[in-house]
Formats: sequence, structure tokens, C-alpha cells
Amino acid sequence: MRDGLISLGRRLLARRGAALSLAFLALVALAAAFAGLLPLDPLGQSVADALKPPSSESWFGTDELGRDILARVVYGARTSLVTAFGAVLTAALVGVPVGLVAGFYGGWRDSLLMRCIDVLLALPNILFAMALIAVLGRSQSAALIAVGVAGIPGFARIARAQVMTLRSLDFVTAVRGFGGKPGYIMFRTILPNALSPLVVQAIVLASIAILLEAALAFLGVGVPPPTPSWGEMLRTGKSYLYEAPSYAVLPGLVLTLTILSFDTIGRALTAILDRDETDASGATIGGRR
Amino acid sequence: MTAYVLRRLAQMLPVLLLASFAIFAMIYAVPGGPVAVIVGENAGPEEIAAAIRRYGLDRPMAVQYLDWLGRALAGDFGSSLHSRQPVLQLIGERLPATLQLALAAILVALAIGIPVAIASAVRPHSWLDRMLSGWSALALGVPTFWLGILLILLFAVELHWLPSASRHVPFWQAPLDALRSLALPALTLGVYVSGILARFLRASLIGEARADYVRTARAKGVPERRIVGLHIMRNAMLPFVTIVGLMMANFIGGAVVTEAVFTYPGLGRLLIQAISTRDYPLIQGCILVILVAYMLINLLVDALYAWIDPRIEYR
Amino acid sequence: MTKLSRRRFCITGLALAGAAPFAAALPAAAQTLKGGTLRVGVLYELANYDPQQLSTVNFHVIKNLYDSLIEYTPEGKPEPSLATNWTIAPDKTSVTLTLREGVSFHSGNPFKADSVLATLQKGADPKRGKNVFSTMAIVKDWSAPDERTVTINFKAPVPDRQILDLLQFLIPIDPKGIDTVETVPAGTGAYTLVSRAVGQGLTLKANPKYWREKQPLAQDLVFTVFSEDAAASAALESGAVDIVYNGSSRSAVRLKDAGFQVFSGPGQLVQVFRINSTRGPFRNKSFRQAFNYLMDRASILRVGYAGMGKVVALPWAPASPAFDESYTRTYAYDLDKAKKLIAASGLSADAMKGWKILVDGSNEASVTISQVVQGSLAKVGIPVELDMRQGAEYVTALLGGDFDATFGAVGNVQKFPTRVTTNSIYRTAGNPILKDPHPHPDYVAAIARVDGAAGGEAEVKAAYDNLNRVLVDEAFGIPTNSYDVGLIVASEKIGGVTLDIDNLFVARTIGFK
Repeated sequence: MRDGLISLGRRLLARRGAALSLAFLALVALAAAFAGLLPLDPLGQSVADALKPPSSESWFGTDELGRDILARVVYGARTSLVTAFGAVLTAALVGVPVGLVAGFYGGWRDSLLMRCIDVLLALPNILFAMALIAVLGRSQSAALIAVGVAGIPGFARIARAQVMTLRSLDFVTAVRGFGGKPGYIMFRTILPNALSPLVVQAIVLASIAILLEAALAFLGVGVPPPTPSWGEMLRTGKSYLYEAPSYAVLPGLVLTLTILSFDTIGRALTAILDRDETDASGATIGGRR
Repeated sequence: MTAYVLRRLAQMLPVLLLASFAIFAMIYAVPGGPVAVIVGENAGPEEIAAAIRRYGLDRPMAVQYLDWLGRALAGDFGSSLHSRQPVLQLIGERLPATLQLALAAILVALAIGIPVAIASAVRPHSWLDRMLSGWSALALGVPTFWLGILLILLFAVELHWLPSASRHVPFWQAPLDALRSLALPALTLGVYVSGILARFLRASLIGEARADYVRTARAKGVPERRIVGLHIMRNAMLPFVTIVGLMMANFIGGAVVTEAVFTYPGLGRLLIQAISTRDYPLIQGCILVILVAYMLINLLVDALYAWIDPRIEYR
Repeated sequence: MTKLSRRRFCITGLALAGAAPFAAALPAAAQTLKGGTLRVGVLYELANYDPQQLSTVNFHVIKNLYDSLIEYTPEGKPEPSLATNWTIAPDKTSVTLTLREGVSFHSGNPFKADSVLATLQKGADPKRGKNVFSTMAIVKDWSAPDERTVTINFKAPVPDRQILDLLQFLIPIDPKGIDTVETVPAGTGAYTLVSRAVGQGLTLKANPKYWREKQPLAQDLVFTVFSEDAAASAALESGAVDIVYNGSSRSAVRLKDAGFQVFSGPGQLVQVFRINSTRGPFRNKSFRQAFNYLMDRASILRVGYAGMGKVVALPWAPASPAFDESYTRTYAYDLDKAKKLIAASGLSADAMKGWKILVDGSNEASVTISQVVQGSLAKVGIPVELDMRQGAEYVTALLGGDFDATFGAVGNVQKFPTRVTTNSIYRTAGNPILKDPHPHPDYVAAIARVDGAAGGEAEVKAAYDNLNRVLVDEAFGIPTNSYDVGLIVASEKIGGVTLDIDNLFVARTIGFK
């Protein structure tokens, strides 16, 4: 399994777009992780220097309270990545077991669980997330949970599809023959073999999670200020379009590049996995995504 | 077909019932009530108590729910706690705006998405294809609120061509005004959807191009334009209709971010306002309308399938 | 572009910092103005037509559908309106009014003493009196010797200014329509209601029998409701409306720059950092007093209100009789003085934190200025979090007094000083935040002293000074700045704007150049 992932990584790096994306994400992640070591202060106010355009002192300019926008973008990466990571984890921890159980047992369990998933899908996820935040109160963990819940259906559906393909295969029936318990079969036998598509889903979801977190902040229900957040910066920047046009533009650029990077990597992985399947079955799988 | 549609309609009822109860339960879990906003900051305790009684908010939740349900089944969704206007009327005022924007966005998306998909599907993996795929990725990756901001900066702040904030102008009343107001939000949403459409249509076009009947047609010497135009397009349209339908359904309530960027008076923003002021009947009404629209459009898509491709059977 | 616009912004900010910015263009050339259809963009949906519910959302219609007994000029001088004359008894325990002749309500009903009596009765009723009720507390009873005369008796001698405030606050309602006044307007005003589309707007037309000569100028008055400031500004810029009423200061500054006219009236609000002195470290007086110096008022005014307004350390608008500039200088932003008071409080570092600033997340200005305070607090070593609430959740917390500290504007601060007690934090009894018994008896006594100061100018002045001193000493409300409400931003072709003492929208003198 580990070898599989390493070879997947190698093949990923062979693609130029994916390699570039990885490099950018690494940069963002490093900046977020070691932001404390950089000479950047995301909270220091200086109202006299408010809404300055980009300059040699502050590369991205300053915001309405005279804070350094670059510093806030760097620290905002922390907010964004932590929320996205937590959300993906939440979605996987709930969605995968739901999908496994639904697919493994079928019948009424399948119907019930999948109807719940359908309801989640029917409401636009941004509205659902907002409603959830209204219940939980505005905080980083609320944003994380709200975004995570939106990701549950994706994981559940993929896990379910994988189980349904795998459960009749020889090695699964063999384990069952030896008297393996359902839990053991699901989590120890089937899950490891269904990992690749789930990893791809996690990466695809990461891009969606970052987008959704930013959208929630843009709508004014994300991580509360003064914690820097990209979406919040776009929200505030939008009301200063006339005075400081670069305010909303630069954080948006970093946000967009981050989303695009995750998306590019996700698509590259899908393509690689698709080719594997194509090689294995000899058939073309068109329009999979 | 009629029986199928009827059965699908019947299936919607339990889902709506479940959803309406879930919404009610959720509303009561939310901290803060509607009374504070109604009576205002400087109100005394007697005024608050009177307002709670007036709106029947002191009754048990189950009683309130059943009361609401009874009226709703009779077609009365109650009145907004704030404006005292019937919920259906408030929604009815926003729905045309939402539909107009959704339609305009879909048109933009088709105008961009179809040519992009065809151009890249003609020669898969060529440089043109790669470039156009890049477009799709970009269209999908750029957050609508950022694109909206960029468009406002360019067309409103710099060039002064278009308004920086939109309002709803019915198209048949003042087409030019309506277009000016719709241009930026429709472009913002349309670009995003064009990414989805292009990706999807390209994949199914390539899939169809490899299908047997296409090979047969080529072998028989049918002109390539006819093959692409008639055979491939027709079959590739099938999944395409689904996507367009799903997008439409999603826009009914899900275009809130774009609506927020351009301060467009759509249904999504009405719902957000309702949540913010805890206007219970309005929240219920909005969410149910969004759900019904979603399900009806899905049904319409399935019915359209059958019309495009008579091979599909409905059981 | 970037550089230019930034400089433009700064210059505007500077220009606005000067005194009396927009008062120049008053109705001088009313004769040359033409009528027509006046299209006004407003930001709030009207709540109802009751003139005794004087909330911001009703500001755009009240003075167009109704008239007051008397009016104030923007400088606070009383002028006749529906009352042509008023005589305050020498012992200051009653006032006698002479009512205008030849005035009729929209229903055709003639305006007589009975309508003033009905209006007084409604105002004195705790259920129906709404915003007028607390003002009626000084009134004992009333009588009408004849159809044109009304006498109002007070419980005790009342200062002149307070009597005038009451008369200006009283808006006669048609006795025939007084029970349905929430849904059907019943006034004598310059305009009558034509139609209303909830959530969208309201159409009024000129009252042909209006008593003021040659008014109103515009035959039709159309209000359109915009849900957001930006949308209203955009409509003004694109020519879809002629006037935006009650938009934000920031937009006004930008639009003025773009060639639009901006009119700001005397009825400003004062932003107050409200402190719940029944909780945590705020029970400590010295700790509270530190906040007098902790407010970076200049920054707050600049980032929250684009510099439009004045920094203040007392809850008075500049037009208030108790306004005292010297306090603003004494209590200027000074972290060292704040630190000294914090040290003097004797509180441990732990005891000083652990509270939150409640913030109205839907109010952009309050989000920004709360962060300014948060920044200042961090500089003196007190880390606090912002408790962001949206809409109803915020108002519920505010209403229940369920907060440690929060920013909230107070109104009625340009009139008689004790009117400040209509705002929840300054209430002397039944205060929802500080509860009963009031934890600051000195403040309650100071308010009572102002209310009772019916003697000479020196006595009144001493009472005001005492109140001011107590306000900064008790420090449960820390005012930061005055700012404009009901700003009027108009296209260049509009003329004849009348400024109202309460900044209500008065359309009758407005016309097209």
C-alpha cells in the first residue's frame, strides 16, 4: 500500500502542472507553519497608515486599520489550511463509515443512510453551512464543522461504491469464509484497498473546503476577527474598492492559486488512477468526472 | 410516463415533511429569538412578553409545528414576523429575480462552455485542448466572490460602464436596464458554470466519438459535420442536460455568494436575512421553496431525458 | 489610480474634519426650484405609520405625512408649526398652546384641540405611547378651554428646554384614525399615502390642501428600499434615484467626491462603549475609568465613520446644551494614564481578562471600531476576544444586558440632556444591563438634579456640569464620537433641502433646480 502511494507521488511529480501546484502549496504550508519566525505582525494596528497601496515596506499594502496585508495573508493561510484539514478529516471520519456500512450491508441500512445523504445534497451546502454556524455560534471550530459536514456525501458515496465493487472479490469472500467479523472486513480488509480514490477525494475536497471557508467568511460568518482569514479580507476589501483596490485583489489571488493547486493535483491523481483502471480493464472510461 | 411523474411527485411529500420538521427543530436550537429584533433595543420586559404571546412563541415546539403544518397544508405559509407580509408573497417577489439571474448565468455558461468543449474535444490532448482545459480549471477555481470583485473594479470603479451593485429589473419591462444590472452577476456565475459544462461536455463528446455507431457512420462516408452535429452532439447532450438542470436547481438558493457580491435581491439573500432576524415562518418558507424547486427541476431533467432519448424507460 | 484615489480619500478626510462641513446649502433659492417626481432611496423597510414610534426605520416618512406642534431650526431655536403660539407659565408648571386655524387632516377632519388631547392620551398610555411615553413622564394632565387652545400641566416645575422638546416631539394624530395609525397614516402632512409595496417601497403624493404656502414642491414622492448601502449608492450614481437618505458616512464621503451634494443635520448619534459594570473587573471603578483614556477616538472616528462627526468623551451631540468640548481634551487617548488607572485598580492580571467585547457582526463600523479597542487593550496588556453575533442574536444579547462590553449608538443626545435616559445603558430605572437597584446612585441623582433645575441659567449650567463630571467618574458608558444618521446625499439637480433637528427626512421644500 505504501509503495503504491509513493509511486503515485512520483508519477504526480512527473506532471508539470501538478509539480508546480505542489511547490506552491508547500510554500503556503511552510509560510503558515513558520509564520511566527517571519518579521510579520498580522494584528499590529496603525490607523494613520490605513489603506496604503503596496510599497517596499508593506508588499501587499495595509488594511483599514493599518495592518500589514501580507502578514494577514500569511497568517490567513494558517486559518484556511487548518480549517480545510480539519473539515476534510471530519468529512472522512463520518462519510467513510457511512458509505462502508451502507455499501456492505445494503438493504434498509443502505436506503436510510443514502436518503440522509440525499437530503444533505439537496440543500446548497453554503446555506446548510450557514445554518449550522447559526446554531453553533461563530468560531473557527464552527466553520470547520460546517465545511466538514458539506464534505460528508462525497466520501460516503465513494466509500459505498468501493465496497460494492470489492465485497464480492475473492480476497474479501476469503476473509469472510475464515469467519471475519463485518467490522474487521470493512475496516481492515476493504478500506485499505479502497484508499486511493479516497485520498483523491480528500484532495479534491480540500480545494472545496478552502473555497467554502472563504465563502463563509466573505458572507460574514467565518472565523471571527481579528484572526486573519482570506475570505474575511475579501469581504472587508470589497467595501474599500474605491479607496484601496489592491486590498481585495491580492489576498484573492493567493486564495485562488491555493484552490487551483489543490484542484490541479486532484485532477492529476484522478487521471493517473483512471489510466490504471483503463490499463486493467482495457476499456475507456469517459466522463468519469 | 405520466404514472412515473405522479409517483415521483408523491415521493417528494415525505422528504418535504421530514425536511420541514428538521428545519423547525433546527430553528429552535439556534440561540436568539425573533422578538428582540421586533421590539427593539429600548423595549421593556412587558413589551417583550406581549410580543412573545402575540406570535404564539410561548407554546411548546410540537404544537407550533403542527399548527404551522396544518396551515401550510392548506396553502397558508404564514406571515413574516417582521414585515407582517405573507411569506409566499415575499418569496414571490424574490423568485423572479433569482430565476432571471439563473437563466442569464446559464446562457452565459452555454455561450462559453459549448464552444470550449467542442474545440477541445475535436483534438483531444492537443495544445488547444490543454489550453482550454486550463480555462475550465480556472473558471472552477476562481472563487465567484473574487471574480465578482475584479469585475466590479474593472467595469464599475475604473470604467464606469456598469453599476457596482445590481437590482432586479424585470427583463420585459426594461430590457436594457435589466441587462446592465444583470451583466456582472450573470457573467460571474456563468464563467463558473462554463467550467463545469466544458469539462463535462468534452468528456462525453470524446466518449461518444469513440462509440461504435460513430465508427459505422464514418465508414459509411457520412460527412464529419453531420456526424458531430447530429450523432455525437445528440448523445452527448444527455448527461449535459442533467448538469444544466442541477446548476439551475442549485442557483435557486445557492447563488448567495454572488448575490452578496452584487447586492442582488435573490431568494438566497432573503433566506440569509430571515436567518439573521430569526424570522421563523420566512425561514421555513424559503427552505421549502428551495427544496421543492430542486426536486421539481430534477424531475424535469429526468423527463427531458426521456424526450431526448426514447430508449430510456421509466419503471 | 491607486495613488490618486488614496490621496483623494485623505484630502476628503481632512476637509471633513473641519467644523460644520455641509450646512452651507440651505433653502435659499426655494422660488427657483421646480416640482416633479422626487425619487428617494432608503435603506430600511418602514415599520409602520405611527408617529410616536420614532425609530430610524420610520424616519423617512414621519415628517412628510405629519407635522409637529412646533419645530426646531437646525440651531435648536423653536418655530411655530401646528401650534402658532406657546406660553410657558412663570412658575414653569404648565404651557398653553394656540393651535393653527384652517388645517385639516388627510381624512378631511379639521385639526382642533381634540386631536392634541387624543395624541397626549396615546403618548401617556404605557401600551400605546411607544417612544413618546418616557417623555410624558413630566406631564400631570391636560385640558382644552376651547377648540384652539390646549394647556398641559406638569407634575413639577420643568426647564423650558424640556417643555419645548416635548412640544416638538408631539405630532397630532387624527382622532378618527388613531386606533389604526400603525397601518393607515392619519396626519396633516405635506404628502398623502398612495401605495406601499412591502420590501420595495412607498409612493406618496402632494397634499393639495396643505397649510404651508407653496409647499410641497414635488408633486410625487417615491421611496425605494435598498437592502444595502452599496446598492443605494449605485442607484444614485446611475440616476435611478435623486436622493439617498440614511446611507453610510463612508459612501457619503465618496459620493461627495464624485460631485454629489451631502447634507448632514444636527441630530447626530453618539457611539458609546457600553460597559456592564455589574460584571467581572468592571465592578472596579478605577478599572472602568481607565477606559476613558483607552479609546483611540480619532482612529475610531476615521475608520468607522470616514471622519464624519466629532470625537466626544460625553454622550452629547455638538448641538446639545450640555455639550462640553473641554472633556474631549481632558480624556484624550492616553495609554500611560490608562495604565496608571489600571494599576490603581489593584486587580490582578487574571482578573482583568476573560471578558469579551460583544460585536454586531452585521454592522461594519462596529466590527472595525471594536477591533481598534481590542488593539488598544492589547497594548496595555489586556487580551480580549470579540464575541461576534449576527442580527437577532446580537439584539437579544443587547436587550437582555447579556454582555460584558459592547459598542452601541445612543440617540436623543442633541436635545434636553436627560433625554439620554431613553437609551438602555443610560436608563435610571429598569436598566436592562445594570439592573435594579441602579449601581451608580450618583448618576441617578445627577439626572434628577438636571430634571429639577428649573431656575436660572447658572443653576442649569451647574446641573449639567455635575452630570458631566459624574458620567466620566462612573464610567459605565464611554462615548467615543458623534456621527451622522439620516445623511442626505443628493444629485446636483436637487435643491431646497431642509435639515430637521432629529435628522428626519423633510421632502416638502425639496425641488429640482
